[in-house]
Amino acid sequence: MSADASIGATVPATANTDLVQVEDLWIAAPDGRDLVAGVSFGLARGGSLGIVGESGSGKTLTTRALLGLLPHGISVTSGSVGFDGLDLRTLRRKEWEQVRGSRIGAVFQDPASYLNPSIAVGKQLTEVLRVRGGLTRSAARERAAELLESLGLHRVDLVLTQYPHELSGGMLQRVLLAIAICLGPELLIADEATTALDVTVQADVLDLFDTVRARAGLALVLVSHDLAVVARSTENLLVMRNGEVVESGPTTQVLANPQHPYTQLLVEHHDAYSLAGYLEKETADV
Amino acid sequence: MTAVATPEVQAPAEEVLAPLDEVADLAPHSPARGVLIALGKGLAIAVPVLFLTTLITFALGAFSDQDPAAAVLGEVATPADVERMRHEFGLDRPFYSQYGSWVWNALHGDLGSSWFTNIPVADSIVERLPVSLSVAGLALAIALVLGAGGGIVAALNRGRFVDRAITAVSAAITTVPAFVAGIGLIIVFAVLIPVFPTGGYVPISAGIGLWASFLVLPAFALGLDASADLARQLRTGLVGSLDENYVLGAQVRGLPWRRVVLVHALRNGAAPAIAVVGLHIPRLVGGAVITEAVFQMPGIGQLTRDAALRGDVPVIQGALLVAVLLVLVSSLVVNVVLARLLPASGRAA
Repeated sequence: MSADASIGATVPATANTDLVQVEDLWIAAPDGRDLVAGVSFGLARGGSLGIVGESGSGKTLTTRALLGLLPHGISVTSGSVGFDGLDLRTLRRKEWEQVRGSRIGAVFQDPASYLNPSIAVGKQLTEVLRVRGGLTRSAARERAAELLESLGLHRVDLVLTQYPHELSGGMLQRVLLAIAICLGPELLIADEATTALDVTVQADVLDLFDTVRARAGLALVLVSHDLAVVARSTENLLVMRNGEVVESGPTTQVLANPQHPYTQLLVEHHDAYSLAGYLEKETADV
Repeated sequence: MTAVATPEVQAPAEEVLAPLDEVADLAPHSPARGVLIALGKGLAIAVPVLFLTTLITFALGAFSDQDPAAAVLGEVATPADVERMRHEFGLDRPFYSQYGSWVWNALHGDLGSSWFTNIPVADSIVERLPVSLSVAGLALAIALVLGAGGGIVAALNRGRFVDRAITAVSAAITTVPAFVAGIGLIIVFAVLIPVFPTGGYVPISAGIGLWASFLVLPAFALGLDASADLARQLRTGLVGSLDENYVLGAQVRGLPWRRVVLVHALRNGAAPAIAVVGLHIPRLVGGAVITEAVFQMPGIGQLTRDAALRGDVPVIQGALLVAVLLVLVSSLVVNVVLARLLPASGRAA
């Protein structure tokens, strides 16, 4: 099947050049306020990058610039966003439509809201396979069932006919993930994709990211405010605050030995309010 | 800090597949089921409405003191003649019996005959219905094309000049009543620039072009108001749904923009606009009375008006029945369309 072939083909031969190359990216609000100020990072093919920071730190806007979908009025004012040699800033709408979905996929927080409430989830998956992947109706249906099954869903024939409000958050995130990877992209952006899920489901979905990455050689940008999540799933880390990168480096190194006061604060707070930290304090009190 | 304990407590209960098994065999929102429910609900409402409206119109006719015998026979009639005539029309029978036989006959396609011309009401209606349906149908088509086009263009250009222009023109149009629009259109397009006839009607058998030329002005007069309302509702609905995450989601999948707008955004954003169309259809039917007068068209509206002025009760009843039926059928169609478009909208119920 053609979609199978495309997933296999995404593992690049030239892995030495970075897939994503963001340099000195500035993003401004309509009133001229800078929301992202001089962010730079690179991401190798098949690599993974975590972006942490409080809400409003510009982490989501940074990833939206990679998708060319900044909110109304907000725009990139300077810098470059490179993707596999393409300058994403110069793309027109038609060219973007060739990049999104097939080369860059994305999943977000609150998966239910990213699916059309009036269309069965199966139809939304097969729509992408048919319109973008060029599959026939029956081939698309078969491929959709395969994909959902490979992402750990059961009774997929039933799930395909259901509407978003009939599925749980974990199931919806799997459906969204299936839609995001169905065309075999090279980069997956996961923006707080596990935040709204309860802890056991969150672990399942993070495991799925690993599985999918290993299978398809996918690069991952994982945006989260949860240090535990990025520590678990990424090799490199970007800590953002007020639109600027305050610290970056290999994830384990940054978290084990934070240099910037803000990162130190994040790590400290995380330790204090995590389960481990809580239990430690309890036993100390007793 | 009770929150710390929740993961362990909730873990078994929040098993990923639990919700699935509950809904598994119900498939509660399959489109076909939604359509069937909408049809059933519509019919359940339509039948009592039909009964009540016919009862009310019949009662109004019966209690209006219209005495056809005196009217038809004139002043020279003797009381005995009048009595004989009343008996012939069945007016000496009690009200419920008159209504019962009217309903019984109506069910068999017999709406009685005009008191004045003796022409069967059903025949008059069959003769004039095509005129009214042509005007109302074309008016609806104009409303849909202009309204949908205007609404979509305005929504996609939100805040820009085009959007403001469409919004302003729509607002202006909704303040103009159909008869004023009709007179205005006649002055401009039939008198100043004589491209269309000032009024009248020819059947479609006389040639489609000629038939259409007689319909254009009345249909515009009737449909402009609906198109303006539709454009405004559609703009609002579409602007709202274009801001929704699922539109962003569809863009992230690389779907063509046209498809994102027409399939994903429009499907949810069009619901209020479709409901507005449903509200306008009765007005298109009712507005025909005035439009047909302005354009001198021999339609149901003219028939009703003439009958009302003469006090020709059977004709009024028949014409009203047809109007009520048209309204009920159109609202049924609108509800079925909505159920088909938004299968999940019934979930709150």
